[in-house]
Amino acid sequence: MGFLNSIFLIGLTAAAIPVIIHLLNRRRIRKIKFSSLTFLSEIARSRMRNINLRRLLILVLRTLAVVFIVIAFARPTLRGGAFLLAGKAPKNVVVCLDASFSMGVDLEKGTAFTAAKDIAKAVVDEAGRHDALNVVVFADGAATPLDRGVRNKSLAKSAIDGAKLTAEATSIQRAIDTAYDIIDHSDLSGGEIYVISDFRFNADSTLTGQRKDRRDVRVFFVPVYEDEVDNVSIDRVLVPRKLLRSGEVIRVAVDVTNHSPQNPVSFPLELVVGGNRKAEKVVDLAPSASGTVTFPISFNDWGTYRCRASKSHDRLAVDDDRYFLLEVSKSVPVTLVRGMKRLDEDVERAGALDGSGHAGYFYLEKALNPRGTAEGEFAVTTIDENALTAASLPAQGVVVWTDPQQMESKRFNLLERYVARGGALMVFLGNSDRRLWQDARFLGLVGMRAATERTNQSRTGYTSFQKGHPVFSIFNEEELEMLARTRVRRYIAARGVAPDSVLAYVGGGDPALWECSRGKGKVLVFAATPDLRGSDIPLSPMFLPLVHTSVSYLASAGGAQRHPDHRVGRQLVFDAPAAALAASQLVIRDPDGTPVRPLLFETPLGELQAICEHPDKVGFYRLMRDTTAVAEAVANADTRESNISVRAIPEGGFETASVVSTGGDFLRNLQAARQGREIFGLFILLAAAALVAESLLSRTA
Amino acid sequence: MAYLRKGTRSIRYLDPAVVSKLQNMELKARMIVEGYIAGLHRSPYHGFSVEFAEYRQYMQGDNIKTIDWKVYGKTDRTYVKLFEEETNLIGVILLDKSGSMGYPTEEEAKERERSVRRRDRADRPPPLDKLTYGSLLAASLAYLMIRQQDAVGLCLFDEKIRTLIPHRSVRKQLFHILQKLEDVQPGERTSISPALHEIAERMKRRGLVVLISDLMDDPDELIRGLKHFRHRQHEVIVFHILDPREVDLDYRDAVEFQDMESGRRLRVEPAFLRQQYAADVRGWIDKLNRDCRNHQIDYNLLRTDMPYDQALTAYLGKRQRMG
Repeated sequence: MGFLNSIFLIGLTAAAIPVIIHLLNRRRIRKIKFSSLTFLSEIARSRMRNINLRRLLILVLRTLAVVFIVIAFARPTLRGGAFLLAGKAPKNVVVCLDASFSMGVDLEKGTAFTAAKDIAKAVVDEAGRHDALNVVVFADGAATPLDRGVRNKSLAKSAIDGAKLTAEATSIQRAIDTAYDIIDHSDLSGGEIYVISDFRFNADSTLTGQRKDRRDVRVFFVPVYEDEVDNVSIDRVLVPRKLLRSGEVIRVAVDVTNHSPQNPVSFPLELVVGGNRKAEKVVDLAPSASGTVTFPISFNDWGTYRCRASKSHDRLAVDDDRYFLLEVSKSVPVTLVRGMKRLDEDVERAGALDGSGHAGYFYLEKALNPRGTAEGEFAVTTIDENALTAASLPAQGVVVWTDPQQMESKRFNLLERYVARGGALMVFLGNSDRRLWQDARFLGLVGMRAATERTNQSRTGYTSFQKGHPVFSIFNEEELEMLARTRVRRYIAARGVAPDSVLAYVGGGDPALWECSRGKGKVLVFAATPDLRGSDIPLSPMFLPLVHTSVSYLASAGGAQRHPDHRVGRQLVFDAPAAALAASQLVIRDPDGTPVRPLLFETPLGELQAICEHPDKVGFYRLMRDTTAVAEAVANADTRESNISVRAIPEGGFETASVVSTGGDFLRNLQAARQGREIFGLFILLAAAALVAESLLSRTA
Repeated sequence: MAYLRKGTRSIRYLDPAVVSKLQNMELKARMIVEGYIAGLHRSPYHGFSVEFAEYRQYMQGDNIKTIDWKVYGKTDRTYVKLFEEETNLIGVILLDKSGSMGYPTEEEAKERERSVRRRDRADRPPPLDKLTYGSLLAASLAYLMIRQQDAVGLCLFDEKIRTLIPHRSVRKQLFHILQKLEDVQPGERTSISPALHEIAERMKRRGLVVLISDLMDDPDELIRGLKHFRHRQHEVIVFHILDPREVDLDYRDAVEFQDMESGRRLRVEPAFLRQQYAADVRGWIDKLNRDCRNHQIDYNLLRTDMPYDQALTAYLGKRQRMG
């Protein structure tokens, strides 16, 4: 049992009053001379025990009457009780309306969300005249359309009518927390929170229990409907290649789930690309089963394609479409990162050795873009090591790092994170900073335990190729022989490289080329730098093919990368060039074309990011500069909501929570649940009964 | 009780509380008796003498009971008989002056007066204690007897006889009796029966015995004492004097009672005992009444808030029956 006004329990000290009066009366007894005690003494002897018992009983009844009255004023509540006479004091009534996408399920008379609004308005009608009404519309977040509690029921109903269905998941705990905050900041003490939801998701995970300091707040869970509804959802889309090239065949995998625990389903699943149906398959799913459907597709032209996996709409339509973007590249973006410091010191000496004075990146640039035009196979961007930013790391390209120096920690973090998330990195160690050989993070990144700089006196070339590896598989024996004839003068002798990851060795037995996987990404490491100081490989006819095959291999390597899956309600970050973001006339168009003001965010590295703070619709969002789209992003529904099979309503953790069924007469159920909580009427009755009994005992005595 | 409505004056003199405010005992007795007679409007002396004096012709207003019908038969005229007045009765008033007759005490009487004033907002005198009430009754009876030329005596007793005034019919006897009654104070313990036996032995001639007491004694012993009088052919009237609170125990809060005779103390809640107590007292009164009736003894219960006319009527009725 709890108390809504526990401060009144101080009044229990008043229970001492009857006892004190009783004791005082005993002390102030009158002395009277009486004619004869003959009769009295006989009666007193026979009835003394009875009299004392009655007197004690009367005292107990009086004390109990005081106790019951005090308890009644403390407004006792009883969990699960069914007592009459609930309290009428003004209180807060907070209606929490679930606007998550599962509420969009079609019922017999409209959607569950429409039914929820009707229930919410009925709750408002049932509130007392002086109750402070408030509305919380919640899904993944919680919004309060009314600034503060209102007593005007029409206003509250208008707020309910104005609520819109979202494609977000549900967080009941967030709604309850918001409701508690409203009650905490209210002038009225205590209140009632009505959570009107379908309770069809795994709500237990979001409910952590009520606040222990507000036990005068009662929580009512009102399930909008209680029937079983079947639903099939498209959960996600997987594109196995990170770099899509025109003419290549890629296999798009679509995950689907039948959430019905009883019924199997069969439905056509289609893949729509740029508004045209590209492929269709019929899917059969057993009850509570998931499956993956693969669509092989290819693109003739490069560019960004808007794609959608769709199925026929069932009673919950929002998860029947899954949107995604496919970007088919014309060229492989390559970022060439130059390690400068060591290079500057040695450039003169290096020049003396090869007679040209060119550093390694020079030969790499020439190899990747021999004509120096923007239309080559590789789009090369050269930056200095200390200018590395997130924007300069191509999501679907390769980073080539020559002559690594001691990089700033935050930039190295960026590089590490880039590789771990699926990025490709090619490193030429030849002129690297010696301090890096002591840096465990760098050694970890390039897949070795230790290194020493070594001069190859015998000047032998590459040997022991892994001929089956994609880097060498296109070369024939003659070409490999040409590669083996190159002279390696200086290189970094790595220790601790896994033997099976070594693709080629230097004549002395040290690894010349090896690859390693870090997270979802790959790193390909060359022990020597492609300059004439390190070797004569830049002058070899095999240099250009080797660089091309290595970069191409890295660009398409890696496991199946999950397509960026932004959910409605979460921030949507646009992957746009920095130059585009610098413009002031930026606007985001949501899937319906409605303009949304973007939020420009500056990262710690000084980069600008355009963010759509609260995407509330599923579909494609475009970042526009004037009339030109500079970036595009996708938001999909949160598939956690798709499971709308019946679940137990999570009362656990709420001492004063109860479920109000909408089956049958909802208003009667609501009244029973509300009145069943507070039992001060019972204590008033007990107090009255004690007083009546006391009166009768005194009178009969 | 029609006479009570005849005049305010006569009623007032029958109210014990009013009479008690008078100074002189004789005056008190006279007021009671005269007040009673004024209400009665007929002579209490008629027909009590037996000595014939003469005939007188019937005049309008004479009681037709006094017409001598034999003379009428002989002379065809109506004559009434006139008699000599003389005493033919010995009356002894036995007044119990034991400690219990002092109830209620002066202190309690004042407290009751205050509570009555608060409740009724009326200026009423304090209630009489039983001894005062009994004394006034005794004085009134003595006055009445002397007025009737009867011989009257007085006996004051508690556990034994304290004062005994032998019966005489002279006017001076009333003075003696009233003087004793005026000075009477509550005495010791009650022991009625031995006193009754002793007085019964002393009374040689047949007469009327009036016992005024609260009868706080063993009922069987008491009846035995009264039977002694009956055995000696005496007529007996018992006036049982009780205070209203002795009947209904009308106390509200817890009280520590002290027995006025034994001094014993008892702490009780009267509210809890009232019902049983009242039943027991009623049973006791009923037994006394029944036993008295069985032995041809007139029993009259008088509460100290009752007027005296009931007692005087009882006495006169008895006197008339005795002829």
